[in-house]
Amino acid sequence: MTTEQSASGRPSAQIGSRRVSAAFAAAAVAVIVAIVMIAIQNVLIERYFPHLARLTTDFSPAYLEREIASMKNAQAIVFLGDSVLWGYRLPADQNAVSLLAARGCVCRNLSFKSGNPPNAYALERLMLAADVRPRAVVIEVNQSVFNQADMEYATLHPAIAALAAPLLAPSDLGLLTLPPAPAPFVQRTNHALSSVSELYAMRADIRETLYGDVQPAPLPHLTGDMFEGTYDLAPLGRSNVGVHFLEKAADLMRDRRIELVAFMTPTNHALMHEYIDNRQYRRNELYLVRLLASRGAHVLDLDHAFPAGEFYDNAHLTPAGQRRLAMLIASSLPH
Amino acid sequence: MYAPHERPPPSAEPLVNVPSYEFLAFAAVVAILASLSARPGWRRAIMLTANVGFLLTFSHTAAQLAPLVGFLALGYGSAKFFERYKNRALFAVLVVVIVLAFCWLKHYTFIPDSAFLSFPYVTIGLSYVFFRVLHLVIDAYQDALPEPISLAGYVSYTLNFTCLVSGPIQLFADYRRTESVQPASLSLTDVGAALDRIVVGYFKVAVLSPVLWTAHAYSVSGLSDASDLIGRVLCGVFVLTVYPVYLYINFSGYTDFVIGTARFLRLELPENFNHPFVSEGFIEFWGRWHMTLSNWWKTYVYGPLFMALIRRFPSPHVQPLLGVVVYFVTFFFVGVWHGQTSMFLFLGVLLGLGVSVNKLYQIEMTQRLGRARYRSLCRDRWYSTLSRGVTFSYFAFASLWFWSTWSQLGSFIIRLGPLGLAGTVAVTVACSALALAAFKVTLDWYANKPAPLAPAPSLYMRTAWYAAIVVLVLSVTVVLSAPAPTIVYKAF
Repeated sequence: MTTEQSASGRPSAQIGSRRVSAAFAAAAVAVIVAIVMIAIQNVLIERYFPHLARLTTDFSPAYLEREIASMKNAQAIVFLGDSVLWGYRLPADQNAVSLLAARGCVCRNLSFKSGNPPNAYALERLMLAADVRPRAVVIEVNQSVFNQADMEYATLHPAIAALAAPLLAPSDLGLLTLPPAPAPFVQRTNHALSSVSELYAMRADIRETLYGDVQPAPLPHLTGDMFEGTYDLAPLGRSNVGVHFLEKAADLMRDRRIELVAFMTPTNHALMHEYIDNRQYRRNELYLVRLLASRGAHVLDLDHAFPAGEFYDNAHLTPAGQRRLAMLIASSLPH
Repeated sequence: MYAPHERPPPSAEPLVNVPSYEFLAFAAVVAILASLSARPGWRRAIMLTANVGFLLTFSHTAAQLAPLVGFLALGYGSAKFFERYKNRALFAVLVVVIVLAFCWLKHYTFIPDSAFLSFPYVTIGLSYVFFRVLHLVIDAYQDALPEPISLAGYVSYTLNFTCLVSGPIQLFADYRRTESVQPASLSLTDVGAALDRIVVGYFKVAVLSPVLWTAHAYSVSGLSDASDLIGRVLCGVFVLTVYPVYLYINFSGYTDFVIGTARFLRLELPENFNHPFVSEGFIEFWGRWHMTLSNWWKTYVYGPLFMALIRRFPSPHVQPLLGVVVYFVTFFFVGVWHGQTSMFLFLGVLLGLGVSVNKLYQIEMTQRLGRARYRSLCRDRWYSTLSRGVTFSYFAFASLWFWSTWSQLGSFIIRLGPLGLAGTVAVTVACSALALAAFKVTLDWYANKPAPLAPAPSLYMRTAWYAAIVVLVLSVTVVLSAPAPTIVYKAF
């Protein structure tokens, strides 16, 4: 500083204050650049991030909101289901909904791997809250998700829970096992960052779009006993959380006069013969069919409709199985 | 990081990776603590605690650290012994023992499997600790250390957390000077320059590296899918050329990051890269690529071996050829140091050949053209362009043994066929020559550009530029949302 003084003749206080001003100005430049870049990112993502053929595994609340908002005037047929309708082990363009879309159906696939009746009901509530009136709703009814020992029994996907929890009645919420809430500070930080940055809000969707989903492990030789316990053969009734929300989902569509199509998930009876080819399994299937039919749904009982060769396992369909499913559903869809 | 034959359970992953936000936070805490007092003793104590603490983050049990600690103890004991006693035979024996201990801990394949330890243990940074330990032992024997080395000084130097994972390899005298004798200044300008390095380094590792790695992966899979000759040649060119660029970006990014971080601790780490791809020969390349590594090998292997051979074969006609032989031996071991398998053995052969043939070429051309004409030829624009292309292409070729496998190489050769191979080599040399010529022109223009703009606009432009890079880096790391990006050289 002494050198600077002698070189320029300026007092050191003046040099110091100039430096401080320059530092503040530089900081302001940095903040402005950051804001501009985040704004550009938001615009680019909003404009160019694609509407995916199916939800990603870890879809975000932001992406789900975006998808639902895009359906507002689309008069689309919305599909709600689990990994079967999502197309587990298959590329996105090979599930039944994508095949129907390729043939001109205005379809949206809101199925996802842990889909179940509580999620289906919550999605219906979200759509209606966003003024989305689908042309029809197609619900996949998989008997395995009514099993109280199933991992997905009485759960909500975190993204759906984040958005739909305020829309659900407390009595309904009390029946569900919600994802553990993060610490309040983390929650507030996430919320603040998500509201500012689309990239942050949709990072999981962007990542999965860029890098793809985790590849499932290769299939071993399957035997029926590997799936022992998948299906609960206890008689279904209203005390079952899945039944409770399936009823509410069907009632909601009936009350809003939205056509409801339901299909019972195809099941590999050849593989599961020892465990499900019995009266109680059939009773539960019929119980669900009648429950939906009595609420105005058009029900397709596809439980026995598929040959063993069109399954990867107990329920997930091969490309041929998905084609058959598309064909069978197509005849029940409104034209 | 762990001995190759053992995979640690997921819970045993390190708490701090480099480069990462956690590492920056750790360094920031250490820098703040170190600056609380101006006393050198305080600073050394903080650095020692930080260095040991950083190492502990890679281990969950004492047993996992025991082999590394044992290796360090062997080095310290040897160095202290040779400070006092100069026994040539014992010196040779202990150097060999240290080298063998390193090979044993790193599971070199010439050692039978049954001889290895059966439990997982920490080997993080061992390859670089090895160089520091050997350097101390040799310099202690030769009385070349600036002062007797204390235990605390030894631990701090060998485990310096800023360069533990993948270097750079700093000599003890230099480390000592910057650690306690004459720490680097930390003015606002220095802080700005250090931040620049950190931001640029993280950008290289977190953004550019994944992009280049993806391009490399696509080119490898594209080679098996390409149907026509042109497609195969193009894929072959990408397979050959993308990886060395990726390696440079990845490793130089790490180096930028740690140099910038160390600067906040008032430590000056040596540079590791100096635009290596503008090199016009393989010898020059190794003067610009991983410089601390090649300098170490030149100081402690090339120099002594060359002097020993000159004493043995004093004829002046033979001496240039001795240089060729010693270059081969030195860089053969550089290649072998990189890995434990036959791929790296062959890599050593290629690196040794590259340098020794370059030297032989220089000798031959000097004899044929005379020194002045040869220098004039080297200054010719087209000659230097071609030299750059050939140098880069040879390095890219040698790098195949760095990242692929024998079966993969076989499938590349079969897939390309003779025409495809020839086309790949020709296109690689031509394109790299032109691209690097353009790069050199840009470098020269930047170095010789007119007087810089007035400080104020330049400050704001630089701030805007680095703010943009920071946002890009944050965006990419948010999307990836994965553990800290990996650096290739952490595997060594």
